[in-house]
Amino acid sequence: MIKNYLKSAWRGIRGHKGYAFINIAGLAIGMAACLLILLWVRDELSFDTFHDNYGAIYLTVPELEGTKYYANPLALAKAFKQQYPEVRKIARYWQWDALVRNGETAFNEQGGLVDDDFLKIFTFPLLKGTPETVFAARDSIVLTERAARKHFGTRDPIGKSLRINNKTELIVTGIMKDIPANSHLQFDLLGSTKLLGERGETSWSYEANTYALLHQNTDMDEFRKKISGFLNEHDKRTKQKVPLHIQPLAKVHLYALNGTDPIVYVYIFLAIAIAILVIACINFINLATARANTRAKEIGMRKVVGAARADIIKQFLGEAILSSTFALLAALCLVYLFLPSFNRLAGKQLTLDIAGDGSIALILAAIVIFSGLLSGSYPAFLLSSFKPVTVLSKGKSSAAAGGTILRRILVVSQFTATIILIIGTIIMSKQLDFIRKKDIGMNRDHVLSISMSREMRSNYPSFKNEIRRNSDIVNVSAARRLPLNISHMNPVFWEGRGPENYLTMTDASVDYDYFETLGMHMIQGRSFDNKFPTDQENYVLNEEALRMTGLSSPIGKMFSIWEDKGRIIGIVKNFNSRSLHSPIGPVVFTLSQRHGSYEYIFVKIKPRNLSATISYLKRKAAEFAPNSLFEYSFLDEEFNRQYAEDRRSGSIYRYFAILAIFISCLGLFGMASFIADQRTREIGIRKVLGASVRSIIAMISRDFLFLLVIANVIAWPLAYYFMGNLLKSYAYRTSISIWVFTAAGGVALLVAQLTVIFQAIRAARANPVDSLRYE
Amino acid sequence: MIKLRDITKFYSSGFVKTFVLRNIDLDVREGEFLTVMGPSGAGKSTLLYIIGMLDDASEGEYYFYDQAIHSLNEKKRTQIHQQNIGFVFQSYHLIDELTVYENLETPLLYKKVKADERKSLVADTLDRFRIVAKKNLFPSQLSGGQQQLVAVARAVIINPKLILADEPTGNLNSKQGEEIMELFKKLNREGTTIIQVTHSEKNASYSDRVIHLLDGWMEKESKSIAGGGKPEAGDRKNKSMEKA
Ligand SMILES: Nc1ncnc2c1ncn2[C@@H]1O[C@H](COP(=O)(O)OP(=O)(O)O)[C@@H](O)[C@H]1O
Ligand SMILES: [Mg+2]
Repeated sequence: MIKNYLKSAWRGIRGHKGYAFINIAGLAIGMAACLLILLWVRDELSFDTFHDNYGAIYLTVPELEGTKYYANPLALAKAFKQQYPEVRKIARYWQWDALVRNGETAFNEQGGLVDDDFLKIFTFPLLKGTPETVFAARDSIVLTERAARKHFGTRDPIGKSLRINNKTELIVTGIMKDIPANSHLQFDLLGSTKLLGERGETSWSYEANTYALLHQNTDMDEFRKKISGFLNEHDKRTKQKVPLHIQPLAKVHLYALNGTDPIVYVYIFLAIAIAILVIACINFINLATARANTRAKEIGMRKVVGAARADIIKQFLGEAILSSTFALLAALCLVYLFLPSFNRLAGKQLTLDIAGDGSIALILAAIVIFSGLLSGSYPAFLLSSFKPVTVLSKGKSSAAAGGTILRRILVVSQFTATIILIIGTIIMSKQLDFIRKKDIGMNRDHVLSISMSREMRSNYPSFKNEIRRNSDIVNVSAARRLPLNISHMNPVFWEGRGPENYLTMTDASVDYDYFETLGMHMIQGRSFDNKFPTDQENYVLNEEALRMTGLSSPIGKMFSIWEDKGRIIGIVKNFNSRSLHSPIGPVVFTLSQRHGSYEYIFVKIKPRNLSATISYLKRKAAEFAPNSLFEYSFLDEEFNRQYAEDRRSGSIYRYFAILAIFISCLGLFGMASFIADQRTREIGIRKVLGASVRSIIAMISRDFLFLLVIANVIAWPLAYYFMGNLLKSYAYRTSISIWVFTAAGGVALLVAQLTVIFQAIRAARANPVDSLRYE
Repeated sequence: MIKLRDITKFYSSGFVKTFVLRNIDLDVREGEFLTVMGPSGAGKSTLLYIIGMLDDASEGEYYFYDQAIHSLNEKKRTQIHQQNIGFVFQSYHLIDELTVYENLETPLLYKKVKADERKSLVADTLDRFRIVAKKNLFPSQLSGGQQQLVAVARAVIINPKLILADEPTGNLNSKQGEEIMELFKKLNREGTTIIQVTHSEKNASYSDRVIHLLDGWMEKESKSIAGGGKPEAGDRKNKSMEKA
């Protein structure tokens, strides 16, 4: 029986190659797109799941001035574990980026200082050494396989020593497997928090991620309530409320502490995947029902010789599943072909391993069955309901009449989805463009940021003096943080507000010439000047900080970070110190390096001799800090890096939206050619009666245009709603203007009209005699 | 075997009811060879489809071997149809995508006949209709007469109790038509009940009994000219005649 169906299905495919191609190619492209997106989604959802304790690991999250941070006071971990029996183990991770030297070779590595229990809480398997012993000694260091290979080649690193930041000698005590790409913690070496010394145990400054492994049966609601006041109980320096929250490890990757959760992209992409597949299935349904006329006779005959309705349904579902299996095979080829480019686009290392990965096979089966059932069921139920009498005795036209309304609904929904995707694409591009061009309150062009080694730090003043003599160098300054990433919070108070009512602001340790080098504008007062020795204690605030103080004439007023009293000497125009996802926060600038020494040198250079100037800087840096690496980047690149994720998602989105549009058009093309074919006879008669080619094109187009107009009417408000919600995640957003909608509608209209016209011309040009001679 | 009582068929479009069959009473005995004649549009095909359970009557009762067909559901009806009835049409209606062999095999598949039995049945039938050489050809590669031969073979293969033939020779030349009619006669002699629709007096002469339809009314019933008819056929009263 199945063979009989397969034969008629296969011969049906061969007999109507054009339709079959559109059906299967459309479906294949749709499936390939869907599969790629599902791989991406699966990877996103898999973050950190490889830890055995995945469900029981939590991060403590302090909230300062309404903003949540992963950075916790160094002293929190120990007290926290002592106080709450729910905590089985606790470990800190203190980000520790280090210059690692083995003899002559040196590399900068990402690393972390961790507590002893770190490797017991997390599943980062050791190849050499045991979790119990690797951090026993203060001067231990554990490398990943990759780092071990880099520093030691094929030699066994255990027991060998490495020099860190040209200062400390550490002994390799363990080798771990490389960190999986789907881990939110990424590092190549681990040291012990014992290296932080006394400060590491007693300081209440916010510095370390803190991971707690809780007992399985912990009542989380209860626990959250219990810990909420923890920081105020222990850190008596303030009366301000500093609530302590707790965040499951499972939420670290896909949920943001503040602002948009990246999981919206998972939802958006899933929606696109489903939309693409549905659009492709709609093509299938449309063409299948459109072809119902042709199939009606076969069905009638099968019923006459004894087929029950169920048999016919089975046959058509089977055919659809057969087609979708073909489509899947084609889709797999496409995926293999495009996976490398997709990985580049998405910044991932996705693989499609059908044999070795059960869940992939499951996804594939699900895709085939989903699209098979979706695209097969309507034709199956429609066609199986035909009465043989009707199809065998009457003309063909009545048979498929039932399908036309549905076909229209499907075309409308297909175009609605397509138009929404086009609108979304335009708005996403507009937003990214907006961010790129937005005046962020500083001029980041041609500003080089050079990371400052310890060695350089001590020679920095003379280095600065030296290089300023070069005429291609406009300005030189330094700071603790990149101006895009200022996030060091400290308590502040000012004239009229006592220390007991402090607020927290971000403080930035900067050198003279900072504002000048970065092109920031003073709107009141002046910037730091070495003519005034007291400027060492004075402060510059940004507009937002000023707004927070509520001072009306700030210049000369007392201001204090901790106990360090000084005066406000200037107000700088707001600039975006964080990503444009978040609004501008309050920042206070100081020359003092008490809360952290400089880590970056900023050099504003003239664009004319760029590479010569850079090699000059490199030469000079080697002179002043012979043992350090010269590492630099351009500030605008750093700026763009903040939006790497956004741009990635944006371009993934764009590619898939274009695909969806293409598949829609493919379907439209099929429909138009079908209708043209079907009406050949009618068109022939009309031509004999004197109709012009133009009037025939108009006749065929009218139907589609009407459907497109309806699709636009439905799509616009939906797109407005979706995109409005998405843009909410940006603190600064582009406008959603009406031209976006008309443009999207116009594009859809144009593409549809071109396809239809193409087919209509073909039909209208045909010699009427040819079509009338038959029948 | 077949008992129709007061069968009426109409199509309604808007407020207008178009009657196709009116108050048909008809009995067909097992083993009979019946011809239905009448002008085009008289309702002959409709009557045949109703008897063949491909269509429902709008009113009236239909008994097939005492089974009340008018009150059965579609599934049950398909079952009875599939076991008992073979169809032959004027325009053959073979499945274009399947070969001769596969076309013959299809009814057996729906009847869920086992594979080896199916094979031998198809082989026998190909043999009996002398179309073994054509078994791998598609319908489009056959002449009209050959296609109709295959269509009859397909109707016969399930060994039906009843064959319904709607102008089976309409598209054939007279020699081909004769062959088909001879075939029907032979099948009838072997015990198959046959109801045919035809315009040709010559074809009608193969049958035992002729009924005439006109505008949906059953007009008169006569013994066939050559058939040497069975006595009881003439006894039947014609209700619609009286009415008219
Ligand atoms: N689906 C239908 N809707 C309306 N009228 C129909 C339909 N099917 C058949 N008819 C009408 O029923 C009448 C009888 O048709 P039919 O039984 O095919 O006649 P015959 O086979 O005697 O030529 C015709 O007038 C035809 O137009
Ligand atoms: Mg007829």
